[in-house]
Amino acid sequence: MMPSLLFLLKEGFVGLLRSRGSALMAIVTITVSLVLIGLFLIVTLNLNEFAENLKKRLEVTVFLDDSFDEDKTRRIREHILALQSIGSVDYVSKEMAVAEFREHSERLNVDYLEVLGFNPLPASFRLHPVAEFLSSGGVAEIVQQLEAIDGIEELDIKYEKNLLPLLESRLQVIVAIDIVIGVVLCVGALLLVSNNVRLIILSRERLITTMKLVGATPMFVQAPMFIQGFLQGFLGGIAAAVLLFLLTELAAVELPDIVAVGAGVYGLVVVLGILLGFSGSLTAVRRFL
Amino acid sequence: MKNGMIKIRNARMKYPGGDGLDHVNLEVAGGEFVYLVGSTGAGKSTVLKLIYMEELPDAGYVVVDGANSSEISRREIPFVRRKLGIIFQDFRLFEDRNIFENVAFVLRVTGARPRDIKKKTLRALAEVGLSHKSRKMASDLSGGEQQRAAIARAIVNDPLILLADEPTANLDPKTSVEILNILDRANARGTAVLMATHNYELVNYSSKRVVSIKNGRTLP
Repeated sequence: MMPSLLFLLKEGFVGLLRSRGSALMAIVTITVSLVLIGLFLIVTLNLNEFAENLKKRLEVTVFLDDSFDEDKTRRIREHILALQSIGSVDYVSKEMAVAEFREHSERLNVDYLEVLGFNPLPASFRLHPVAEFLSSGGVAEIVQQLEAIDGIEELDIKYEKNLLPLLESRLQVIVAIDIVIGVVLCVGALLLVSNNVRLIILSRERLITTMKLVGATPMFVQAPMFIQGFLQGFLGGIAAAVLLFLLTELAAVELPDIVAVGAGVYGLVVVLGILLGFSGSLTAVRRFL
Repeated sequence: MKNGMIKIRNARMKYPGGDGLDHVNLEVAGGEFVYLVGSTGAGKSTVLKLIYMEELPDAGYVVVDGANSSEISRREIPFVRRKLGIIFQDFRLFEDRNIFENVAFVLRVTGARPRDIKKKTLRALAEVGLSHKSRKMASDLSGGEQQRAAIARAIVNDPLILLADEPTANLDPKTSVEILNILDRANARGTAVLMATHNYELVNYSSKRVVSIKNGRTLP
């Protein structure tokens, strides 16, 4: 027959209450660690979102030679639209290009077109890549595909070449920092929970020995320790999730567009807390019991 | 009567400090009452530890109801101990729970049904005359009452044998007689008893079988 789960749960709860001083310290450590990890996670998610928005604004411009007639322009457009990497294409005629140029050079107070006596600006296609190709590798592939189209030369293709590699490298650094800080905080919390369970084991050594002598299996003695570790992690996780929620709500008042946290982050924090608590007690039980 | 329920053959065991058992032979049959007598440090407690397998012999073997120390795995030891009732000189009650829970614990580890736990625990407490103190904590009881509670914990699961390690050593003569009477009653119901003691006077007035131990060797 298996020992009653209810009895083991009760033993775990009562054990936690009995060692409430050190348990509280472990819970606070888990909470602080998880809040810091959560904050880094939220900042990273926001930076990622910001980077994605920047990427979406990326355009690849293909300039068209003035000698191209309507038929050739139409064929080039069809070729471009046939590419799976391109979501949409906008045509910018020479006249539209002039209008845009005038709009941007208003402050200069000089009409270069009047001075030149002709329109030097070429017509162009503005290409909007699909999301999967919004990476430095993806755009390089698009450029290759465009160069293969009859009438488009390497020099005709223009885009913000430095933007994507810059964003990608910065994000990589931020994620690496996140991981290092997260691991350091997790190890710290794990050691504290483990130490707390070790103290419980040492203070109850005689009791535990007697339990074994009257027929308790190792699992029966260990289960309440695991439950205590689980509870410490769970309570730390819940406290951290509540604090993170309050912090993000406060931040949302000042930065309504930037802070956007899904329920998944809070769930992840609670799960991480449980894992920390459980692994901490597992480490101590394996070593000292 | 079940023969050879406990059998110790040519057991040797050394503690790191050098003490231990040199040559121990002992057999206890089902329903028997045996005194294991010897002076302090003779090895009485170590013999009991071999039986409840807190220590395993370096040579020779111990068999408890068919479970042989030379073959048993650590995982099986708790199940052997559930067939035994152990009474310690220093009572070893759980300080963190009341007397009812102390006694009930032995049944809870076996996964017994709550109804059976209650019934058997109350019966064991009644047997030792502690029904009225079941909600008290161990520290609220006198020495004699604590030892009776420890006996209730030892008998609650109807063990095959009671191992009593100097159960009257810390008690006054009147309380000691009460404890011996409880052990006698358990024995009369068919439970074997192996009681370690250094009280030669007690043993001399008894008609029960006596095994002597000296310097870690049982005497023929």
